[in-house]
Amino acid sequence: MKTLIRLTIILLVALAVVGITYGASQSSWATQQFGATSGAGEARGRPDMTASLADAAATLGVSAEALSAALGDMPPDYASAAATLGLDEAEVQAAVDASLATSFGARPDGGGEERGGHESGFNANTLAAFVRILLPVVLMVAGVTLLRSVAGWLGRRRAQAQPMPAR
Amino acid sequence: MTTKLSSRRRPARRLSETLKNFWLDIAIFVAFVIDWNLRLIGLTIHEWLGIALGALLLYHLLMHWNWIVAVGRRLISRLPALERIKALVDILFFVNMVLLIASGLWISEVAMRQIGITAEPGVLWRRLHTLSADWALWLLGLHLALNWRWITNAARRYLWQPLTRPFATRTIQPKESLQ
Repeated sequence: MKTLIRLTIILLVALAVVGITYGASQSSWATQQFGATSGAGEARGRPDMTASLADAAATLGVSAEALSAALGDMPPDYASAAATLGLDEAEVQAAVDASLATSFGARPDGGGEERGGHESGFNANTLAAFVRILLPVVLMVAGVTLLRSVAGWLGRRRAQAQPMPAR
Repeated sequence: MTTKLSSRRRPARRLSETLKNFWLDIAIFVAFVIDWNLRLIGLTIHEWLGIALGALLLYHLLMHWNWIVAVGRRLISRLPALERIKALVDILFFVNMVLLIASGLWISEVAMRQIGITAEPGVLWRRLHTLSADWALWLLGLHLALNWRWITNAARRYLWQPLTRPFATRTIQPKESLQ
């Protein structure tokens, strides 16, 4: 019972945090901030795929904007895109899958994983990602430990510098 | 006498709170580091592991409930500077993790869909997810750094000592001293 009450309190506090954030996200200020910096696709509530499709566009010999517009919202409609661009559907699908896999590691619809569309397994990229993850942690631990030891050393030095009270 | 002793119930072997905390913290850390690496695990595992991480964090908070209540009571009045900094970092870390998990659920494309919940993810929640994930690394580092002494003590006690015990050199007392 006690655990249940505690759990409820934690979840209520979490809900309050999310509620406040949601409230802030609905404000005109937030809309202005994110609306101004988003691409055309992002403003509709999905990420702008133009940058992620750059490789595919280069492979297919079309512009990234045209390819993104032809594919439409996720999941992409390859048949329609191929018809719009006047290309082969399989060719479009292969190029887009490869491009998205490089950008995200997996296709946004999750389908890439089953087909091995993302860079799975341990390679140089994943090793670099682990280093990137652990670096801030290591830096913080090292920095704080150093700071604390310096503070301790200064404290001891100050205590030693103080004259002994005369007897 | 012997029958009395043998009939006496042996106390059930329980894990100490510190040991439980230690292994839970290790599990959370490993889950966090793996979950952060989206390219390695793919979107499906990333989302489900993130949900599991949320559950583990809830358990972590429940395990430290007494500390949270004790520090919360004294946060405004009297508290050593280090404890106050620790509390503030932990509050920030909690808010950040709530936002990270909530935004993750909001923008979920696999896990929530498998459950049957679909939301209209806005760009703000996507940005919030990446931003809070970046902040989580630094706050996790700070959280670990401020509790580093506890971590090293627990690691020494529960990892290092059991591992090195078989190789520890035993001091053999000379026969004379035993007589």
